[in-house]
Amino acid sequence: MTIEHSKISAGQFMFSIACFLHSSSLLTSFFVPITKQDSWIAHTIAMILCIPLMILYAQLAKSHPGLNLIQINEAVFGKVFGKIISLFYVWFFFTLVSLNMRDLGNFVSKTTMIKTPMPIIIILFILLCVWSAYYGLEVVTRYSTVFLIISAVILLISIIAITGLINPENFLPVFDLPIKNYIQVTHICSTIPFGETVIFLMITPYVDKSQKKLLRYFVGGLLIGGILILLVMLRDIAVLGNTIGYFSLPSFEAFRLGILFQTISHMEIMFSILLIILLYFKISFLFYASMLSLSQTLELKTYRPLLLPCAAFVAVYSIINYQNILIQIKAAQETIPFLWFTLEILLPALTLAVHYIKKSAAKKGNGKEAALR
Amino acid sequence: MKTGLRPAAAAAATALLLLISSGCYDIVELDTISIVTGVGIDRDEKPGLIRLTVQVGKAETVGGGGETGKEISEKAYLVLDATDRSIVGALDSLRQDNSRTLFLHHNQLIIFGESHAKDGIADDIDALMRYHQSHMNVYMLVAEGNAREVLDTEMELEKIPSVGIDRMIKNKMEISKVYSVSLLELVSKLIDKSSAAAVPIIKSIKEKDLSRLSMQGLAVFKNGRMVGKLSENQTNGYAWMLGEIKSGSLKVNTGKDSAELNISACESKVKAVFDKNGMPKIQVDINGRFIVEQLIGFEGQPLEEVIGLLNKVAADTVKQVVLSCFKQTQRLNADIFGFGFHIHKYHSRKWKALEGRWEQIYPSLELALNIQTEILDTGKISISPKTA
Repeated sequence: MTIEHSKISAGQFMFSIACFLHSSSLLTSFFVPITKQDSWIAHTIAMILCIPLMILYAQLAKSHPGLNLIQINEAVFGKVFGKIISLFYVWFFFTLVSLNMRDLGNFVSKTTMIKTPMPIIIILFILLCVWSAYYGLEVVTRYSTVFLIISAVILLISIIAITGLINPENFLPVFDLPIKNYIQVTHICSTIPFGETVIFLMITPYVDKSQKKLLRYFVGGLLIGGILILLVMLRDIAVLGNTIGYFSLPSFEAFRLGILFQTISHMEIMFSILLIILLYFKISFLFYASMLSLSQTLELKTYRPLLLPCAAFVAVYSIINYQNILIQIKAAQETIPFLWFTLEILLPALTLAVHYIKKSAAKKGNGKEAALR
Repeated sequence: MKTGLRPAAAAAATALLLLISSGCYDIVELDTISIVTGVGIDRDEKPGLIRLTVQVGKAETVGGGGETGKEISEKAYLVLDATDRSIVGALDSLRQDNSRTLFLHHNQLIIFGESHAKDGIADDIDALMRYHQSHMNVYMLVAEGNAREVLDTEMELEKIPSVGIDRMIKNKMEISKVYSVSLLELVSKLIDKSSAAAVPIIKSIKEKDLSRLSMQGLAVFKNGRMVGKLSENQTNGYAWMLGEIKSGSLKVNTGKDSAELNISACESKVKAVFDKNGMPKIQVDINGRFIVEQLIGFEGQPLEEVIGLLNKVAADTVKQVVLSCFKQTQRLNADIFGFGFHIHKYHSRKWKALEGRWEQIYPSLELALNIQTEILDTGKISISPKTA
């Protein structure tokens, strides 16, 4: 039973991962206060550590051709237990939608539309995401390449605009902080942006033709997205130096400082555009994937009737999930990485392990039968 | 697909969305705001209170146009002030007592009155960094006297003083970067516990019925409080030490003759070395390159001899201003050069032992200066017509 009938190309799949990851670069305030000028090191370590994770995901997808994460769960753990695990994932995906939605709402109401109530922003935004999710995977992922190019160009312009303010000494001293901080940030980085790519297991069956080369595209997406985040981080550190830990939106401040030929300044509007574009991609993809996972778990033929009710749920969920941004940041630093770790790394690893055990048991069983005959 | 209907419906829906999302809550019309161009913070006569001064540009007098032939004699700016315990409170009361909302996005500068700066600016910095409309690249200045006076000084050529001061700073930047300190740079120095910050001083000079502005010297901030001043000469020394001089001239004196040298380039390199006990010593290599602009005297001397002499006296002069500045900062115990920060960055292990004692170390810190000078060119002529 499949709900999604369209296919996307492998390139689109890779750029979707990259774009999905890149959207996290704008909200680095979760971990920058912890490692300050060394954040880029922790980030790079996390990126490298996540390559085995991509191998795990690709292996999981390869071992069950044509099945997505929810279907794999059922195939491996059986109908009842598989569904229980799937429900965890459904909750996880919806929570991700709502958290990202909240980030967007916070950002817009904090920087550009101060008097506009956040619910209005969130409701309008979710309606847009419903619209793209209605048309399915192809529409949701179609613009990933374009968005990625736009954001890379804006990144380049911003780097040119702040070249005068770059001070290489801002990266010093290196490795000056307690080792514990690096471990904490590496953990946050590997679970919050990188590990979230587990959601792409929902769409692996719909990638055209190149099922065998899936690993290449997983790692490619990880590297493109990761390197773009790295560039953003290097830029912010080079400009803001030791003050970086103080700002809730370091990139926003870096953009504000950018000046091109005296006349073009106040470039933070470009940051806003970028953030909204990238978060639109991320949220619509997340929303689509959560709809897909929900309807798959409930064994529906289509998710379309559920779109609006779920959108209403997401809108409310994103407003009530955290009382305020302070609690959200604290959670993102302290509890979320551990919760996500279970869903992003432990469970997929367990699934693959159970799959192999079952397979070898079945082989042995077959062997015995053959011997008996 | 049925052509016509669906695209039309989609277009209509998009248009509708645009209409809703255009931000009717946050509408800002140009004629409902007053654009703040400069902010001044002074100590009030009453203890514990501050006086916040904002300079607001008047759009209609700057814009020109309009009715032709109408003589504009009124000021193009307005100075408003409010007294409160904090900047935020003062901004609030300014907002409530005015017909227009203050718009701080285009603020060019923040000026601290001298006496307020001596009381401490750390709490103001907190508010300035927190406030959403404040930008990190505004210029920071300290007013000799009070900030209100500076903001209310009419300039001959500029309609709005803040814009004029902004241009003054940019002109000074052609000589050296030390005359422009942004909020970001100030904060960066202030949050580093070992460093001190140096902020340019501006003053309003009254001459008969005219007044003008002048930027001379630097105010030294330590732990968020102004602790002293550097003279113009010492400011040059500061710029030499940082290697931050782009142009300008250096007057050198050999005793009986003198010369004006144009500074064409300047570099400096700081190095920290440690003795057996782990005590630091700072080595600074300064490299200056000059072009001869004027020779006063030097009659009958061959060019090579003159150049050799000039090289020597230029090095001596630079050494003198640098040392004068360094001594002054040692007297103030304010590490404006960031030597401590340098050790922290390049020798972070050794810094751990020095960090707590830097206050005691700095006043007697040893400085080894190595000054190299080079005369690159002699201008359009080589030997002086006087010596021919």
